[in-house]
Amino acid sequence: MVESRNYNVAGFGFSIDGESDVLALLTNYEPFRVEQPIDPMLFRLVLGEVKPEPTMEHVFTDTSDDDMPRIEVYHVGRDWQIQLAMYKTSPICAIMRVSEDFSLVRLQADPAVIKFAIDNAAMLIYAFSTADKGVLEMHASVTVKDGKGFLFLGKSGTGKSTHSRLWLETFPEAWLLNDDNPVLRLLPNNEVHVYGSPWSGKTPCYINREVPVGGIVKLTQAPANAIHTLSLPEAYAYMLASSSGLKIVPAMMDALYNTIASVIQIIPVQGLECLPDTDAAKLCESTINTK
Amino acid sequence: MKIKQGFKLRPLGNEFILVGEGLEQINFNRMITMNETAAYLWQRVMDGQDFDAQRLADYLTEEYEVTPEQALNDSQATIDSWLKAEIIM
Repeated sequence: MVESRNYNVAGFGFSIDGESDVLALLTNYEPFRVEQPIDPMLFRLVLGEVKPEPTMEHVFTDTSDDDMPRIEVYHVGRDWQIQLAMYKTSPICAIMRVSEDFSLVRLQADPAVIKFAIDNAAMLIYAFSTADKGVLEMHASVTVKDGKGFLFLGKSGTGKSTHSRLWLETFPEAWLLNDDNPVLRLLPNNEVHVYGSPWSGKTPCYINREVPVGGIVKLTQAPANAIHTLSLPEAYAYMLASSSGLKIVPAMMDALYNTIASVIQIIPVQGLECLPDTDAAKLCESTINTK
Repeated sequence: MKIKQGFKLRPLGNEFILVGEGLEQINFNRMITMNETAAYLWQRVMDGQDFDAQRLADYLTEEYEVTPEQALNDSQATIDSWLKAEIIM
């Protein structure tokens, strides 16, 4: 039986249509499920066949990270075709046909990787369709302390999750909001809030909560703990590298720039050189909270 | 000299950054910071025109209170740093 489910992530709606047994796999979306479509509605993701298109124009292939899925982007007329592979060199396992404005997505995937395909498709299209709405879909781990969210950024393997875990061990009242892909929003009143999402990497942490951002910290592994405020250009570079988006589309890049440039002047980004120890968590927390 | 294609000049706080955003610069993973004067010069030549130090010096004297000698020195220094940064050819 085909059904349609509605979701609300960080105040933006989308739906996923598919066979009930496939939708039943999407337990990570349950905390975000709503009965009725919400406004604004970003996109409808429909599972089904994508007809082959002989004339596709290659736009861009993202192979920035060996451990991340490979994403190939094509134009089909004014629409998009986006193809996913599990890793940099593996074969294509999912194909998406996406309308020009990203509002309608058809997704066809190898049944063995349907969950991977839905998660990545929804994450990508969510990022593309919110970029012009003051939203950054970040690659970060977020821990909440005293009602504020602290985002830890860094390349894969730098210890974002480890640093979150150190905060949880060091501060008994702290809790994990999301471990991989939180949503950051610049609100009309210039407050910056962070939201949990159905996407959290390897850590099953799908929390539908919103908190103001207390700090943004770029992590680097180092032989000793040290922290300093990054310059605006440094902060911009790291925030952009940590934000999802189709950066070769000028309008989307303009939107990401606008959001990031504002956010980093509201929340100064810290650079933490750190060991994986509780002293790093204490240094980080005390520095941000005395500023 | 000519600028390379695929760069975008963006204001950030009191400065400017030049970022590789076009397909031509998809692998350009550095960021160049520019002060207001350098950003002004970049904007003057961003249409892809041919330029040399004298041309930049003329642009400087049009906009700023600066002697022709000083303008030429500054322009040569700007070209040297842009060449080093590989954003012009």
